[in-house]
Amino acid sequence: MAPPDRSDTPRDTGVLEDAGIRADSNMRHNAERLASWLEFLLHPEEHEYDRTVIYGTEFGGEGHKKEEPGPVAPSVSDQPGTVPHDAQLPFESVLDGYRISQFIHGMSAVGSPVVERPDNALAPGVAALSNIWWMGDKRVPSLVDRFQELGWKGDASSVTFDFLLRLQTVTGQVHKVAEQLHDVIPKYAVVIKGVRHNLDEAAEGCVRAFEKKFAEKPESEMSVDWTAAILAGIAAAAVTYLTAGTALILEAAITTTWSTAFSDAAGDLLTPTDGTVSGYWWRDLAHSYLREQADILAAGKDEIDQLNRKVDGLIKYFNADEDIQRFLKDYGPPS
Amino acid sequence: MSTSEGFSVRLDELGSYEDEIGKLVTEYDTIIGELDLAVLDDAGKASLVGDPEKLISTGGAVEFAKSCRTLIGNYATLMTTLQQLHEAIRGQFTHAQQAIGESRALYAKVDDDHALMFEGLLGDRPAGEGS
Repeated sequence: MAPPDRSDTPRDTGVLEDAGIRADSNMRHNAERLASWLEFLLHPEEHEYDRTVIYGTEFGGEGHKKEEPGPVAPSVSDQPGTVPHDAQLPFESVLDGYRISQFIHGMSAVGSPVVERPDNALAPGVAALSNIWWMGDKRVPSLVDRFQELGWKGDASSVTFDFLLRLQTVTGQVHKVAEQLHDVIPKYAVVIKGVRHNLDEAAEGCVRAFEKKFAEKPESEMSVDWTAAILAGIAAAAVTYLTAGTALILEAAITTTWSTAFSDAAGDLLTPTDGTVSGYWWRDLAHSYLREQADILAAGKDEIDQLNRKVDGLIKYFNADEDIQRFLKDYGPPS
Repeated sequence: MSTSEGFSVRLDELGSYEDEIGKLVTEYDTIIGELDLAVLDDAGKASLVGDPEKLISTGGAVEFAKSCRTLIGNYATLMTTLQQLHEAIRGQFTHAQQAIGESRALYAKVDDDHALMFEGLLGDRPAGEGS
């Protein structure tokens, strides 16, 4: 249900464009609905519905504020004969001091990253790392094993074998890096997806809470549940998306490889729970939603930080590995 | 099989092994092609994180986006290093393939030279006909 005399789209969509929530974003629909309600609540001068009325200023005092479902006329007995028939007590928005951007700024952090589309910039890395892992785990050891069955003996054979063993050592060491880094990438995309999902659902929950508050005028605290995904534990989950492959993943298969890795990771890692928007006053509901938004972002950030510590650890491992560094020094690009 | 006190070799097996390493080098070509695509330039990094210009100046969204940028930056660094390492690995397998090819050619040449030497001693009689 849209606010009275309004649609599910805010009159000013610029706030959504400014936040980077594109028209094709999955979050756009609920972002628009939420923005439309906020526009309505922030501009009581444009309608005859909910507002915060300021009582007592007619006597020169500072007054006190109270939420009302519509305009309130001054008391005639207080000022007999002086009150025009259309007069009303001063008022302000029930969400005075808030801005729409505060409610959608979580979405702006995850609106633009391209991680779910199969042609995203992470997809080639997943294929490459899968292949690096396969080379170190299966292909190169198999090649070296076969060398010993060639029936080639002598000094030249010994030197060649040592040379191949060195390559096997390096590819074996780097395959450990590939294995761990390979799992980081889909997890990053899953965290982004999870944060998006939660922000979208929280916005939808907030809209439902606004609708309920407006339509039912409950006389006590109300709450609206929304379906969240648990973000905690994604980074630490002991899952691996590399299997004992038997062939190289070719460039043409990069997008399907990504789709498989991402959907497997999302299916395994995003488990449902409940979120809640609750309160009695309009401001309570807004505050409750904003707290949910902050919690979602904090949980997402914590997961990203854990993934980053893993990558940072892999960089340190790579830089400290004597076999890899000696090999790079001998055969890598000039430093 | 050619044998001597110092070495033994099967030329057909060595040739097959040379081909196998060549196949491996081709597989590394594929990996390096994928690593070339995986290495992130500024536009690639930007496509994976929130746009800083769209964020209001403080709050959880800014912190979240900052963490994303740090992670993607470190990932990009590691992928660049992996690309360099794998170019070196491919180079060394290529070198191994060439060295084995040259060895095989030299072994074959030694065998041919010896055959010629003894063919000269035997005259033009076909081998295996006896005296």
